[in-house]
Amino acid sequence: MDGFECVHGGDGTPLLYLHGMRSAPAQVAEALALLTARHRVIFPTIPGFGSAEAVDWVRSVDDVSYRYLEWLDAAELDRVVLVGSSIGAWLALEMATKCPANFPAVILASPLGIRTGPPDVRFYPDLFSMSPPEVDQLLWADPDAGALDLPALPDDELTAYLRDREALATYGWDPYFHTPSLVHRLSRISSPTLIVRGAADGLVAPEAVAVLQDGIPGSELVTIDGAGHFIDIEQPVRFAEVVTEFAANAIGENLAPPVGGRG
Amino acid sequence: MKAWYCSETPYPDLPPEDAYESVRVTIPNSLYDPEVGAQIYADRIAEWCAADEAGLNVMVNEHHQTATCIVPAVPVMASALAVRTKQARILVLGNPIANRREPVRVAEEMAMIDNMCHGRLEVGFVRGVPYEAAPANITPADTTDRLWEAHDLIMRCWEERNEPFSWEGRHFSYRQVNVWPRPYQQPHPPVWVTTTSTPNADRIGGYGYVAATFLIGHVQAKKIFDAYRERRSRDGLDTPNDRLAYCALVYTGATEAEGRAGAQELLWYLTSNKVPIQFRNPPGYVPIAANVQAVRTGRVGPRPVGTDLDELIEQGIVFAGTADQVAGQLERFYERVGGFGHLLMLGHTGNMSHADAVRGIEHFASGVYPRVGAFSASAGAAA
Repeated sequence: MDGFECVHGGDGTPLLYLHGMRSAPAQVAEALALLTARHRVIFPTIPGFGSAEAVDWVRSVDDVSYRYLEWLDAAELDRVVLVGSSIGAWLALEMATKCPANFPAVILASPLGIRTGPPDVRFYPDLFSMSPPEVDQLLWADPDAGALDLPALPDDELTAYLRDREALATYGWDPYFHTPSLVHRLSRISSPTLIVRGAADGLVAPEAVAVLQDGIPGSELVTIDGAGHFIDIEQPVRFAEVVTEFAANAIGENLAPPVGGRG
Repeated sequence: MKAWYCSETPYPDLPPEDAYESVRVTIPNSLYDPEVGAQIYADRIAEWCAADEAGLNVMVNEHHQTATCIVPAVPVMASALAVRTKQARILVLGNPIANRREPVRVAEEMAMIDNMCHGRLEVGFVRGVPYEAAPANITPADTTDRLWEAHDLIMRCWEERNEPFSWEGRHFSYRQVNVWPRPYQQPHPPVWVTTTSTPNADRIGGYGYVAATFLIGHVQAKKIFDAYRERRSRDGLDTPNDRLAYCALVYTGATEAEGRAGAQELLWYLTSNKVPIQFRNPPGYVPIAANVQAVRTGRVGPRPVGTDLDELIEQGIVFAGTADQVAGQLERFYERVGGFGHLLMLGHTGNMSHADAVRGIEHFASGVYPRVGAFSASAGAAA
């Protein structure tokens, strides 16, 4: 489909993996490889992020969700494991609340997208008003490992990184990292749902995932040590394990290592 | 050439810079003393009135959540000047229409002020500085688009005569638009737009509005003015000098020492702007290519201008000294940029006293202003 830029690979039950604040597949190469050992993985780039062209009418995560649902329809993919990280988990929530039957397993890592509580209490800290070191401190278990050496990046990678940053702000500036109505329709998600939180994530607090867990019937929570907001970058092995195990149980598959798989 | 006197109405009574994180956005308003502030408003209004009496025009602007400018609502100050001044034209430069939620309200405010001053108003539109994305809570990447949609809507408000119209645009929606009062000047007051880029100067040239650029020195100013002139030329039109405006720090003294001392005080404007990177460069405010450049050079935006007074005078960011010297500096700048028609003179900032501000105004008005006609004879009349 026009404008649906993605990388994909592997065999097995299709798994749609929606990226977080960094869209480059290379950032999550290890997690991608592990997931590809068990699934046909589709890893699209949200319009405006990375090298994906912005689409004039696509201005919200809600808009993106319709685009992706349309693409899954066109590709005749009606039984897909849905995995999202950060803004990708917000997008996964949008998709799963609209077409719950299409996703037999939903895995939400570091999920953004909802908001509750008094107007003068931040549900997510204001990332856009923090200095770069403060942002790194908030988002990473190990800020030194997570911070990129921007001047060392070649132009194309630097451009993609800066487009990620701009796209995140364009989708998430106002309302800040959420769709106001989304929290009210979480109960539409009828499939097994796993919420994954990095123990050191300063952006998505335990209270924020508790709201999500309350809203999604039967949802489970796993906390991963040694990870902040970028679980799939900081703990890719654990991330892939949690995803594949949960997906296998949800869709009734045997978890024996596939032939040639990395187990 | 027309001269426009301005001050940003700063609140300079601040602790040392290391006592606060940012002079904009997050600076605690517990630092603001209403008794001090009330006197600041009185003094600045008196200076604008002194400029009016001296035969100069006046300019006002707005900024938000900052000690550098305690005018967060420019129509309020413009309306005060509309009733307090007698002859001066009043330039609002400008209305930050990318950040205003209600462009129709802006059209109403400006139309009302234009009536209150019997058609002495000139209306500027600005995109707003990057530090105001947070206070206004406008998605930075949308601001250019919002500026021009708001512009289209405001112009339609002023030009529409027959019936209410509706507007359902990308950023603004109205079901019945029918502005009362309409502007005193018909069909509308002269329009100004600020710019720091040549593509934007080209766009402003396409409309024929006054393009204004601030404190960028003669090299950059010439590029901006040339882009405007080239656009007009492509459209088969001339560019009268009154389409081009430049803002500098200006202080004229009775002696060179007095002029330079006044200019030193004005440098507060350049040095008192401690703002952290997340507010100076919110994602989407500048194009991706400019951000790539910023990473490569370690710097956002143009090279800092420094604080050496002679260098600043050489660049044309400051005009200062005796009346002869200021007139000479202005003439040289005028020639270097290929002519321009409006000097926006920032004549008060920081801790400058009211008395010193008024002295600077009077020396400029009596010693410099009468002479600018000699080298800017080609300046046309304002549209």
